[in-house]
Amino acid sequence: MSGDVFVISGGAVPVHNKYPLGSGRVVARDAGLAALRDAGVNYADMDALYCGVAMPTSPAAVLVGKEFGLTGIPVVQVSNASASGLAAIHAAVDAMQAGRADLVLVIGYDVPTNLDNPIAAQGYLPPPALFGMWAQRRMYDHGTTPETLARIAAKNINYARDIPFASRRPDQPVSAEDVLASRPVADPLTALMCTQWVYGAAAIVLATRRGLDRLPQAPAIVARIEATEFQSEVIGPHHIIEGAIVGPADISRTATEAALRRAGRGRDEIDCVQIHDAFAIEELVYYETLGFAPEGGADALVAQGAFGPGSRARFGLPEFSTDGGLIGRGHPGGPTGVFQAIETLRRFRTTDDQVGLCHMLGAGSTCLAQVYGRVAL
Amino acid sequence: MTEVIFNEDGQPVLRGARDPQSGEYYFPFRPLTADGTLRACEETLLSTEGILYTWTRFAGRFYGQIDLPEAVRIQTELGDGPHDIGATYRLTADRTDDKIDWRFERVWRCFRDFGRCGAGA
Repeated sequence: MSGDVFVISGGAVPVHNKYPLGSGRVVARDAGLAALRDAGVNYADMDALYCGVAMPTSPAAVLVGKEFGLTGIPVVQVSNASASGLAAIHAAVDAMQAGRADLVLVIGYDVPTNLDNPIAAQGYLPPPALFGMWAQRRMYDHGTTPETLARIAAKNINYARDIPFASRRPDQPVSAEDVLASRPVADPLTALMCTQWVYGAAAIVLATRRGLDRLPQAPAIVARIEATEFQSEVIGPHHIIEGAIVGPADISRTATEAALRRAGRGRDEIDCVQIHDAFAIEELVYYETLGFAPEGGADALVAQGAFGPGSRARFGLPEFSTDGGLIGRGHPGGPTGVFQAIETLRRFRTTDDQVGLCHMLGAGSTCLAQVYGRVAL
Repeated sequence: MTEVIFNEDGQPVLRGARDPQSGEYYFPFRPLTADGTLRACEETLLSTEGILYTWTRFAGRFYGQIDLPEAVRIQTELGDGPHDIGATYRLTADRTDDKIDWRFERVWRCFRDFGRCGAGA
């Protein structure tokens, strides 16, 4: 990829649904300040602000920018439903590689002004129903059991226990039985297999090599964005064109393959994967769609503990959703992709992980896949 | 955009589109083909019966995906259960004022469904 772009810092506010409606500017500001302070820079040092915003009544990016200062830099709002955060990072990388910016603040935020359901307002069926249907078909085709889904959800919630800003942080480890016993939502999905309706904000600072030279002190470990791939759905047989929040699984495969090709990486080099796991069925299918398990083969791997702690050593497979993912850490919309980048940087700084993959879908119709590599400066 | 209309016999039908070159069908109706070549679609009426691909229950309602013979998959509310993947379903609709509520309901045929006879038998 021409022109290195690095994630040099991250900051976030807790993920929950208790933020007062209409407080998005303050919530976004707090996350942005945390990322700027983590990098040891001011907003005045930034060449651009990119914001990932999913909900239509969250504040406009230009208003959020004013919270930090009125410094004349471009303020760009990117909206791609759930993929808004990764899409904002993608757009920032494009600008930086074009030479337009060397230090960029990227904030993903969503706190709406009312409780209207933006998904229903667009005529979509309720997402839990769509993913419940996906799970039912999986059970029909491959004999997947609710227990398998519960194991994935429990893994993710238990990862989230160590994440200070996660929305689910139970005092005690959660078992698959606990997940199965939670409130039924859309058969076979139970409440703990589903992401919650939450709000929040997360921010990162991106730097080119010229941007690194402008820092008072460069951090020891950064994450280089080796590839960012952005695709939308392609028409195919039995294609659900409208309201397909679930979306075709193929788009995840093609976007990920393209990102790996662009990064010059093989799947066997991936140490951690931050995946679009709004519902446990998604993560199960994506193990296979992204090429980490054969079709129909992921269930057996999950039963043995693959894709969780120690997965690399025991199975040669990456750990998935290491900050809890959308189920454990939460899915506040725009911030989610930025949380994925923050978690990837955290893994690089606190574990032996060298290569990370981030993946998000937007309304099932767009997909972003990004490959990150650990760099010691 | 009207997804369901009533034919001259008063029966509900799905309003779809067809690519005249490839023969591909779409739902709901769209004026342009989906391949990006900006060719015009023909308006067409789709089959009213199909096979249940998957289903679930959420908040007291049933939802399903129906595969029509035209290789079109319809995402829809379903009528009351029980529901089985692979069973046959038919479009039904209610018209009130200017609103049409439509769904797919299971078709019971005695020779196939273990003695349950009803619509479609």
